[in-house]
Amino acid sequence: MSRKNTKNAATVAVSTGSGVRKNGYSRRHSPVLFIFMLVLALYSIIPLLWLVLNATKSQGDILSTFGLGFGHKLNIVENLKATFTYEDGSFLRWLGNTVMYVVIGAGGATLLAALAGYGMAMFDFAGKQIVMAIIIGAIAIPGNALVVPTFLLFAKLGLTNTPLAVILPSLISPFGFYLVISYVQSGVPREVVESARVDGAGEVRIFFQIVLPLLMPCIVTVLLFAIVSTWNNYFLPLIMLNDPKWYPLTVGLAEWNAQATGSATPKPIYNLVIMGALVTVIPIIIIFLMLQRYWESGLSAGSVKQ
Amino acid sequence: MDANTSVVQSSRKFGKSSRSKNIQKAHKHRRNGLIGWAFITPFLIFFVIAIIMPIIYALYLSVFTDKLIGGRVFTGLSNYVAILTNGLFWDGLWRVIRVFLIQVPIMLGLALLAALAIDSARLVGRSAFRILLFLPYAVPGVVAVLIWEFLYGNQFGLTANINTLFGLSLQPLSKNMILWSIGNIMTWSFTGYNMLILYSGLKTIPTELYEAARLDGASEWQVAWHIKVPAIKGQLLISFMFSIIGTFQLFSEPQLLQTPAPNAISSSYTPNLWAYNLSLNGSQYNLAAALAIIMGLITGVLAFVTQNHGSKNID
Amino acid sequence: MKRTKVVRFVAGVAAIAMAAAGLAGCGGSSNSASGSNGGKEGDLDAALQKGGTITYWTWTDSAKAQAAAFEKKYPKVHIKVVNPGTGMTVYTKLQNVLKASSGIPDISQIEYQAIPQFSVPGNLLDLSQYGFAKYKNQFVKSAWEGVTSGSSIYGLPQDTGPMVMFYNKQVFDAAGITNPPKTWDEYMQDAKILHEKDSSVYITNDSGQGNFITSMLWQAGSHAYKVNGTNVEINLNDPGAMRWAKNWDYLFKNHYISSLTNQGTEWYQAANKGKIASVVSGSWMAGAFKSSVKETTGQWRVAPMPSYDGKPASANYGGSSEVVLKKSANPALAAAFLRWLNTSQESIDLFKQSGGYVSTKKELSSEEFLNEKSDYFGGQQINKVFLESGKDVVSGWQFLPYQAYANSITMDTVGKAYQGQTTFEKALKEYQKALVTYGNQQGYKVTGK
Repeated sequence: MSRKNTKNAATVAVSTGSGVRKNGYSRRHSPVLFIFMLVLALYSIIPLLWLVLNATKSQGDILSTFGLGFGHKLNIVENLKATFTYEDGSFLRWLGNTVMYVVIGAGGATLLAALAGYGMAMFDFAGKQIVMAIIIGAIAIPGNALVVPTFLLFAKLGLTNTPLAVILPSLISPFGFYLVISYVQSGVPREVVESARVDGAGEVRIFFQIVLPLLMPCIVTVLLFAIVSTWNNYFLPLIMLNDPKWYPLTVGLAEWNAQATGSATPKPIYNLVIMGALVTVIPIIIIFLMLQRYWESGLSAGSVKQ
Repeated sequence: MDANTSVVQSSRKFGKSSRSKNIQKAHKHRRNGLIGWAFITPFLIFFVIAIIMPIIYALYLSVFTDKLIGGRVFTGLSNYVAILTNGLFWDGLWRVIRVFLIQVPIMLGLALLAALAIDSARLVGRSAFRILLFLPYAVPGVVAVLIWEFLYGNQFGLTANINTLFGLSLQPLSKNMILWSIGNIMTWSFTGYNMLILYSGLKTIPTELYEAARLDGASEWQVAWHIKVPAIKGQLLISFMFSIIGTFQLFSEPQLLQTPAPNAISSSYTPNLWAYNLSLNGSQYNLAAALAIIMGLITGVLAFVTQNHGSKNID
Repeated sequence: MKRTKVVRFVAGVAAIAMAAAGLAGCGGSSNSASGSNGGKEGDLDAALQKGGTITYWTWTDSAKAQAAAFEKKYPKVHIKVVNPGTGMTVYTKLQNVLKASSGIPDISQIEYQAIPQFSVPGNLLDLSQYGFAKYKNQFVKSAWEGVTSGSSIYGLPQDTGPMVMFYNKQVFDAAGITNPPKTWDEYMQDAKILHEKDSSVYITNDSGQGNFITSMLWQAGSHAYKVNGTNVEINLNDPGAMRWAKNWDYLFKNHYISSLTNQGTEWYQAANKGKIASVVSGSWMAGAFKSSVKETTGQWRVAPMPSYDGKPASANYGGSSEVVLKKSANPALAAAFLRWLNTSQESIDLFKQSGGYVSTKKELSSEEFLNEKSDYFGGQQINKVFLESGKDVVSGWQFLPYQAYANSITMDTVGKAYQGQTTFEKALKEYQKALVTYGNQQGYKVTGK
């Protein structure tokens, strides 16, 4: 217990005054390190650069000009317009669906994980160990393995091809559950909760007004990773949904891409696929960059070694 | 990619502390118990719907056989036998094992080096690198495959340019290379993510631990290898576990690359892809259910063993 | 005390679990038709008067315009047009909704090859009860054969995909070949000449596609599948199949054929750059050329598909019909819409305007249609070639009652021949084994020869 506290103290120190720590030591810069990181950075960035460049091209240019250069003309406005208006604006609909799945799925997952994690960490009750054991035992079976069985069950229940089929499985975030437990254990002093109780505050009020603010970095981290996994989800909606009107962006884009091939009147729309892909990526990157401070400290707190 | 590992660790920790607290607060037990249940019940309800019930339903389905002609009959364990004696299953399993044995170490090695680099004062532009490397994680798997599909074109794509430039004849979408092309997409997507997990561990190492070593004249590499790396074994374990799960459950990449590489990726290329094709294209839902259970067991056991073994080593 | 609570909790979970299993138990796989049988022709007009909503799955370009025209004519009927993807994606989804017994469309577009997969297990409505037999003579023979089985009628044809050879005349000319190959033997020779003249040029590309191989076997005179009810005999090594296998072995062994994926991103680039000299495909491919192979506009021509003995022979590749699902809540209305969709002049005109290749004899034989010149194809009257091909389709070919699935696993085995790891003969044999096993697992009586 005490060992852990010193570590947390260290975390806090680092995250508040980063850079101070190593000032005392070597200031020499290593070219080897720099080159290594540069190569890795290029590897990470080139495909994204390709995406941005090709989103500006017409289909003809995408198929005939050098991938990491510009096309003969800037087609970016046309592509953007075409992406959002193709087939009566399916893309906008998919964007809306994705946002809905993210808000309800990721938002709900975060709330449920926060409530349950807090309940597990702060209260002692009979059956706690068995609940924990069941949850752990079951979540050792990863999400993707459950997609087909979940589909079979939901088909039986008549839930397939409804938004619920995508939302329900997204509501469980084992990672979030774990992160909240460990954060509550180290970051929410029991005394604070106890004294609020003495003052006569109800449990619900204590949770929302006292605990939740304390949990903020952790909540943001859980939320972000739930957002990413919901936003990027492909297997689950692919198998659950038939009607394009419920598709998220991922499934819609994959279908657009596939329509270039096949024995039934191929209709390539690569310029829309690529522009659509870019539009899909941008919001997530923005969210990550904006909330960087939160999730980085949330992550380090969560992964404190026991 | 959902993170569900390392919970095992937390449960142990949790078990200990709750026992001691039980003694402390025995009198509040009953009231607390009700409130505790109230807090976890919403989670449990959805947990049962999304995880427990599908597992049970899959177990149920797996002991029957539905036919297009003839309906449903009880067939006991024969679906399991059919899967386990089918060469396609072992081929698919062997593919994900190869990815696991080769791609995962490469990815984690890069992630570890990158984490040490951005933790080192000797690197210029640390925060820029941190973000640049992390960006691919925000790219959905579908989009990642789409981009790489273009880059992999060996006649007109970037690969063609590389081949001309270096006099190579790489064919990323051919049968011999496709597995590594898939591995590359995974490496691209998750190196930065793993780097951050490892880096978050490095940040929690108390400075005193290695200041002393430095004063004793240890080189930066010695500090990294002998002090920093052992200190983040926990994070390495987490990353390793995520990777096991990610690899054994491989689906999106092969499923999407099947269109550009139809003769390199079979319908049973990975166990998950096979389960998908068995159930949705072949109407062999019962076989698919058995396959899902088998794969769930394999991944679960692997995750468990790694966790136990790993945390033993750490202690 | 603690233990009892635990027990109670476990019991609770178990109860929920039992409920899940219980759900599984009831229902089962009921194949009993909920749709009506024994309807009559008069039901259709009655249904149109009564009105209602019909869900229609299709990937046809003109579907929305057709639905709108229909709704205008019959204001009480609403047609919900859904585009669930094309080909295999749709069959996967149909399988999926049939499994779930919910979200089943009333009408769906289905390629001819996939009809048996849905009709044999009883998922399609037999339209003969509504007197659809009288439309037989409106459609070309191969299309009508595609939607019927004995006296049962499972759909109405929309378009056909008679196979032809699209070839880039300029590329052939550059290699000194003045006439497109008439026989496969000439084709093999031309493949060699073209590639030796310019190593970046290939006579064609093929990465393997289940339905393409099926059509190639068909044209070669194979009778690989003999289907009689639920009895199936498979022989993928019959003389016809071997003729095709021998040629493809030759092309792949000598690397005279490009391994580019059909209509993948690289294929479009290669075709635009004149690196692909010809494509043997269905008539519908003309549209893809016009829209996406623009840089070689005017260079392409259409010729009959090469044959084995110099006598014209072709097959259908793709081509689709619309069917009514048996579980439709309003089968009479669905059938009424289908009748209008594929037999009324108004609807057929809309389909034609969007570039579709119709399957009705009247349209196909109209002077206007046949004399139409295509600028893309250098002013050639391509419809004449398509029409001839349609007439030359080899008769007697049968699809498997699980053809859609068969096509989805073709490359698991035949792919090895495409990769040069085995011969096409051996690969087809292996494919046959997989098909026999699957068929028997599904309750058919399948034998392999």
